[in-house]
Amino acid sequence: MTETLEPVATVQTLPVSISVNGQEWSGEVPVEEVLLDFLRLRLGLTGSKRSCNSEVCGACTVLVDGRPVSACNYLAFEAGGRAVTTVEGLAVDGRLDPIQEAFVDQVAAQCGFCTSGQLMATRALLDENPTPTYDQMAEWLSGNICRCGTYPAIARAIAQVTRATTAEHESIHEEA
Amino acid sequence: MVITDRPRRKAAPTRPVEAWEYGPRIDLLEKVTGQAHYLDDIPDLPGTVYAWPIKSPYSHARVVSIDSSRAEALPGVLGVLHRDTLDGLDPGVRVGEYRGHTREHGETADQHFVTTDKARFDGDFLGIVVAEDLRTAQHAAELVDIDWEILPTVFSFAEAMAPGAPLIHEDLGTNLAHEDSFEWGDVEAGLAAADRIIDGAYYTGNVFHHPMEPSGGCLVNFTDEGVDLWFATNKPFSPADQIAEIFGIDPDRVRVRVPPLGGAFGSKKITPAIMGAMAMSRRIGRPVRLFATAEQSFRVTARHAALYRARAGVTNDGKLTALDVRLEVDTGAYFTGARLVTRNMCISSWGAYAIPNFRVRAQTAYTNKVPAASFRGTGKSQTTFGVEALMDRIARELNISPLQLRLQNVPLRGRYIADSWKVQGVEYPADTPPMDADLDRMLLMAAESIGWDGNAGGEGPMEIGARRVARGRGIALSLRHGAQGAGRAYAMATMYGDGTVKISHAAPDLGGGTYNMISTVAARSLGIPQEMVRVGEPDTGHDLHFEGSSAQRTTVQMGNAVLKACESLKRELADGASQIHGGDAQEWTVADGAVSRGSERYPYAGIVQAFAAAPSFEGVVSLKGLGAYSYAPSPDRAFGGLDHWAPGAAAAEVEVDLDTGETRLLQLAVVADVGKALHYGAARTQAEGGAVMGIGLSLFEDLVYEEEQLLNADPFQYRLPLMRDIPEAFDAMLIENGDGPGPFGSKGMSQTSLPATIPAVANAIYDAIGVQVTSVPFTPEKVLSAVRQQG
Repeated sequence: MTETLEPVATVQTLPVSISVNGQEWSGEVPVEEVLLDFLRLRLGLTGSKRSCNSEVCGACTVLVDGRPVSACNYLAFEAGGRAVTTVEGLAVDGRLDPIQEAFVDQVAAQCGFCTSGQLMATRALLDENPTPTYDQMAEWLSGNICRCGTYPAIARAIAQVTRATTAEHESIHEEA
Repeated sequence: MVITDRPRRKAAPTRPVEAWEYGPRIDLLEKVTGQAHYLDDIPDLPGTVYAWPIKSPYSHARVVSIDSSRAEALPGVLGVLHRDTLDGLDPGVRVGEYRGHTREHGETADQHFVTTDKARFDGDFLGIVVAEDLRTAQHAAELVDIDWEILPTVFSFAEAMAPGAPLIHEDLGTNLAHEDSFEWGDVEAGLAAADRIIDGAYYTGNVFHHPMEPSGGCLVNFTDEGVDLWFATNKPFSPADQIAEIFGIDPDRVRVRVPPLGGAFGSKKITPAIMGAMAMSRRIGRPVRLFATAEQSFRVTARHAALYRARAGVTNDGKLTALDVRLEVDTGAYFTGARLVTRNMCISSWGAYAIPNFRVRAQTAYTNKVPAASFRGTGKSQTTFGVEALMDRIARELNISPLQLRLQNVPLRGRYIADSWKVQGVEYPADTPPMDADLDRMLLMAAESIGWDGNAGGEGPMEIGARRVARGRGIALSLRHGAQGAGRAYAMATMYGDGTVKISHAAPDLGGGTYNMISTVAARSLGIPQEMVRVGEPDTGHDLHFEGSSAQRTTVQMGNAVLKACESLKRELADGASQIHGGDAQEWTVADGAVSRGSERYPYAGIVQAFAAAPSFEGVVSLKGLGAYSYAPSPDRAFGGLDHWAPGAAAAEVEVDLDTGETRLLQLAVVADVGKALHYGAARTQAEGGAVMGIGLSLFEDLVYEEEQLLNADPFQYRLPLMRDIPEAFDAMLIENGDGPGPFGSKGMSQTSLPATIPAVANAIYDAIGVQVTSVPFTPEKVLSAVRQQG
């Protein structure tokens, strides 16, 4: 789908190197190209979704150096020299991230269109706070809209992961 | 701010997994890894070009002239389609999902393929630009010069029906689009026999479905062979005859394929802009892609606004004797769903109560708003709010507990609503099943879940920190029809030589887990692991008709069609066994992955392979079974064939800030009678999801029209429910008696929790502040105004 990227008028481009899911990408990108187009159209990583296109709904959430950003309003060149993680990069060596497993177990996705954004935002939350309270997770995830209304199931999925985390801590503690 | 004594999470209700229940919903692995391909993720076809629609920025304006010369001169632009450049196509061909419905009922669908005379709503379709790239197309659409003559607007039923109102369709001579009525018993006699007559008027505004995947996009390739259309819809068969009529081709040459949908809720329709993209593909001979945007999506369709006005006759001890309802429905600029939705409002206006005498009279008017159509629980979220809010007013006037009033008026299991009824004045025998659920039990479960005895009497005013608040609790019932009407559903099961089975069908998965339902039914019927079943994507090229995934009919209708397809495949396997291994087909038993007779036992795959290995067959063979299902044809014009009731109950506890009017939910419980959950987790999440949507519709969502425009058509200004709006104390309970008409005793359940949630919240606010807020949504302004009324 590279056709959409080539506007008729000549535009200024910038050379950038971006690490996407651990792979280096180097090349020229138009200055106004947003990260979401860069991922979806240039790299074919279509797991990140375009919905509101105005940084409101969170469907395009990806991690840039571990922090969640809305790729629809984040310029691709700004990611130069940084590490971008998308939903396609969450599973490592074919092993699902625990949060992906928990979303499946708890049916924390229905149509699934917001799911990659929910997963990336949740990953960032748990990286920062491995055992959030309900209010902390609700506050953190309120930038990710789910019209199917899976919020209670997402809360259960996060609880499933944090229970495991807590159990792990406890078992480490016991061993120590 | 976190409230310290807010109710906390309870143990999530669940039940043991049964042996036949399979693992994860089959679509979820792809969805959590980003591998599910939605419409916008399908790769371009070779030579694909990009479209951008030209839409009216005004709600009512005459088109004086259109000049597209500047747009056409822009390098990269391949063409512009509008009323003056139609390539001989008839702009008056009517477009819309409901065209078939309306033609059948002698009414007129009136949204044209291209608007030629005037725009009737903000977003009316004037034409489309196609260019080599998307940005050029978008820029060119802005360069199309249109001279407008702005006309006065009407934005409500009352304005539309006022004497001298501007006419939206001048040829009709009125803005009245439709009338309907439904009754049983003798309402006047019932009111005369009552001790008290209690009335109320309850208004529900317009909202947008807002699927996360915007509505209205497509990828289309128009060639000499026909039309290949990929679009996100719940009804893949709906557009073929319209396309055939516009372009003068055989409907069999229209092939629609549907990827997984990013939500729908009633909004994923064929649109004039999709037809425009198709016309441009025909003109330039290249595939055309139309990306839907959020702002355009808001202008595809909406939920009908409606005023529910009712008088209820009651005895002093709280028995309903009569209910007399009038509905004022606002259908927006075009007829679209007016007949269907008005009828659904009529047949749900009595709520979920045994009422000996009932009457509803509805009028539906055109306004200059986005044309309204189906919305999850079509017609019923409006009427359920009305009747359930009225029940609480009755309870308060009679000083009976809201729970008790409901318990003594619900129809008990086995009871019929009426023996006969009149639809538009003509009498018909009633053809609905007796009550097949325990509404009383559902009410009690909901109340108990929020720790409520069901008596009115909120807490407060009280101080929490610096805030002055009041708390209250409310309850409501909803009664949806089950798998109503809609013709026959077909499915096909194909078994290959490796023993795997593919199910072909035309039931789009909107997000509820339809593919998993199909897979579960097939695997269980054939007695094979779910991994051996593949579920195809809806494709009208298979000629397997299905009305569409809507009206919570998919599990019952498509599920049964799949079950029958698998039974037919089993007979085919028995036939095969008899041909290959001898004997009569009846001697062979087909179950648990094998065909057997006495001590002989052959796996399914062995039968298929035996055919393929035969010299006379020379190659690959597959065995197929076709299945069909529908409810028996019914003369019932009210419910149009209804095979089960689908009730929902909800109970809510709210906290109202008496200084700001802000309402927050402290607890919510919903109960759905699902017959049998074919995937417990999926069913529970869906019941919760409807309630979450109900929270948004209760508290926030409202489309605002002012002057000439729709003001808040983007998700920044249109407030959707967020995770922080959802109480941690949230129960979704499923009743499973295994007594539904669907596969393995299942029922329709996707629309049960939404309609009940809105009035449960309304009644909780009433309980908290002592005054009813009679208009949805219950915004801080309205609640504060009610609080001040109380003094």
